Amino acid sequence: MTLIGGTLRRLLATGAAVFAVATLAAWLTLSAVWPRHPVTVRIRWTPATTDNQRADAERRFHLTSGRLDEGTTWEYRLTDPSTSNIRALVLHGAVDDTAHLNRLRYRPEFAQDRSRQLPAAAVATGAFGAIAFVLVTRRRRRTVAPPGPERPLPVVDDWTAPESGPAARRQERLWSLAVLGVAAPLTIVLCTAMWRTPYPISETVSLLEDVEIAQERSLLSFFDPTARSWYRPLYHLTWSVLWRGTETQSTSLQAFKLFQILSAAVLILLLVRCVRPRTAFDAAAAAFALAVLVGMPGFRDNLELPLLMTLVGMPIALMLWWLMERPAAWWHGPSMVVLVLVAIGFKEQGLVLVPILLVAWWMGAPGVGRGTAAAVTAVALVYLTVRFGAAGSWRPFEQDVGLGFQVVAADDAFERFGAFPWWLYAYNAVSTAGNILFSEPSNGRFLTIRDALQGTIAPWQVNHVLSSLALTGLIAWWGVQVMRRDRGCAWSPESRVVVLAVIAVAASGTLGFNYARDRLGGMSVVFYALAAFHAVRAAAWRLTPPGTSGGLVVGLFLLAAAWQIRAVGTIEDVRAASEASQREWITALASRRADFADRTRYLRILESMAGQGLDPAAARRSTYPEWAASLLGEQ
Amino acid sequence: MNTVPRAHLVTWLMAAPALVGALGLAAIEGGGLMRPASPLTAPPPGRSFADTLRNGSVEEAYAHVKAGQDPNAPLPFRDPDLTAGREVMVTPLLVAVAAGQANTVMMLLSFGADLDAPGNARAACLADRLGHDDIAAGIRRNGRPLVDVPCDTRPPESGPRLLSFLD
Repeated sequence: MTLIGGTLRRLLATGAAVFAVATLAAWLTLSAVWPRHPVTVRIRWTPATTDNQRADAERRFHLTSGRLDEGTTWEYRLTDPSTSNIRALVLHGAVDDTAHLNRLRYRPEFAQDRSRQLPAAAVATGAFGAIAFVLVTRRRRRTVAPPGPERPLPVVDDWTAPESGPAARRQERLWSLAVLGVAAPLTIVLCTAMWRTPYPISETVSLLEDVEIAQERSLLSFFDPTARSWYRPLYHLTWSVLWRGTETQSTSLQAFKLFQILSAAVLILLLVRCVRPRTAFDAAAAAFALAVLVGMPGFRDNLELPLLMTLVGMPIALMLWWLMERPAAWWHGPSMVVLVLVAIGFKEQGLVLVPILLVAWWMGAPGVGRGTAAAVTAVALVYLTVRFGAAGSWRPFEQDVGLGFQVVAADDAFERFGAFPWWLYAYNAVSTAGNILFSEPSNGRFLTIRDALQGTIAPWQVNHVLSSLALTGLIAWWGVQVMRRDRGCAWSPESRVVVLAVIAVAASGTLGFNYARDRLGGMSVVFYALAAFHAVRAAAWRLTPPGTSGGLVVGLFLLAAAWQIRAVGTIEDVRAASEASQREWITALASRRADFADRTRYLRILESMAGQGLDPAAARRSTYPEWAASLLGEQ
Repeated sequence: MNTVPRAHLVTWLMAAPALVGALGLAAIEGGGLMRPASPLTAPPPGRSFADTLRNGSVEEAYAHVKAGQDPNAPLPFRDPDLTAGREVMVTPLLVAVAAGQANTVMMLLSFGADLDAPGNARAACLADRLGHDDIAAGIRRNGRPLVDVPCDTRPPESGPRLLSFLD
């Protein structure tokens, strides 16, 4: 907190106080006025249940106003919605199945659960109050630096200022092209490897089956928040549009793959555009930042076909940042809201952009207006309300969870942690953040530490962890310098990068609470790479005066080399995924045909995709010497 | 050394890995364009189908099948461990089972191996006998033989595993 100015401290403290008071007041008020309705439930009794047994159970469990629905299913009003009563009801031997009850948490579905609606509404009211307070009371910080202490770090040009002439623009174009030229082989080889990667059977065939079924009903069905525990309407809509808009299934598969590849390529182009190298020095730092972007696990894991959801959000994050740092224009606000909506529509991780945008606005980013901040807040609140309103059927753990050195199956996790899942949620969130910052743990598991303890650690693991540790340390050093430099002054674009990187990591971790995966850090990779550009640039600048340590210069070179190796390793990772995908097609066709013999649609899609799955031109790992392969990552 | 040359040195050192990476990738990938075709279309030279089933990868085995090798046709097979060096005529599926190549077994079932073909009917029994439970389960689940073949429940004998089973 010493790094943050007094104004920020005061505002945060007051905002927190307003939030607490507003939440408490809302809680008390709503507790008094929020109506208590009986919960409507449906119960299917086992066929062996007699009328007398059913009547006894109805009395015991406070089931009133019974009405026969169909077969042995009855609809009731449940007047005692306590957890103990619902648990006893759900587990009763005469009860075959229930509807409108959460059978894992033994609560009514959220839409009828007063005890969960009430705190949610109170917290939302508190958040509204705090945001409204900030909106009303925010004061612009001083926009000029005070006279006095010398600025130790080079300051990035004021990007909001008009261009400083044709010569400067030529320089920027020249060095941007130079960086892109250096990045071209990496980008082209990466994109080619992605293009030659077959879609896997897992994920893809069922996904396309779902899309086909859904689009026979209505395109609006993709927007139904109750359909699944995850909500990615634009992702499914993209598939559907391509499915309908192309003449053959093969064309739609290729179009989707092209979309995924373009998302990755645009991300690389945008990073160069955003850092705007104007000198050879900047260009070298930009090349370093590109290697960081491509070498991060959060980028690598999001290249997997057909899971492009976060890969769409990553360039959007850069676009947003670009707009935020430009001089305000009328179209910025609507564009930002649309970009946030698109990112959220593809995956929940798009929500990371909401605090990013709000904090950028609060820190005086010139391209974000108060209206935009309010609109994005409203979008987020509506989204969260809709999602939590449909949360009745969510399971505490949707997927297997990495814990320590082990993988805990979702059902086992529920058995062990279901009563109080918050510790495991916190572990998952910290794991996701740890993976972004240190490349460990991966998917919630401390595999590098495990392998080190067992004496089987591989060179690529050492490289990943050490290069991440060094770079995160460098970024932390640079962040401290920048915040000290800007203390009491206007926030600079650099200080905004520092804070936004921290916010992005924290938000990505928070959204990864349910299970940790490397790909969940994708949205923060963008800001981490931006921070890496500034940090390495600042560090290199410090090393330019004569007499500075030659060892540090060598250290900087080794760090750049380590990240370059990681970037090339990403290509091999994509190729390994291609091999794995093809192996699945070679080995699993028989079992899929047997397992899904009664699903003609699935089988039709499966057979029609087999050609691309068995294509001999699929990407394969390079035949590097063993030492090189072990450094790039034999994963 | 004054500031400017030092700045040049730092710049070059910072950029060098990216430059080397770009040049190296361009050279390696450019050279790769002139490499022979994928292992899926070109099996490693000199390795027979039987040898591939015993020691090779599933991709190599698939390349043989794709190139026209009949997955049901018995082939001559000789191995020091499995047949004590004696040559026997045996189906590809039994070789893969005896070698414990689960992926190759699944590949053969996916691409034409017929459990009702002569010699293949007892593939699951061989897997049982050798303790390859996952392979046995996979065969029974995916192969869908027309007739259930009762397996010999005698404990496995020591010696060449495939040969003793065939005998």
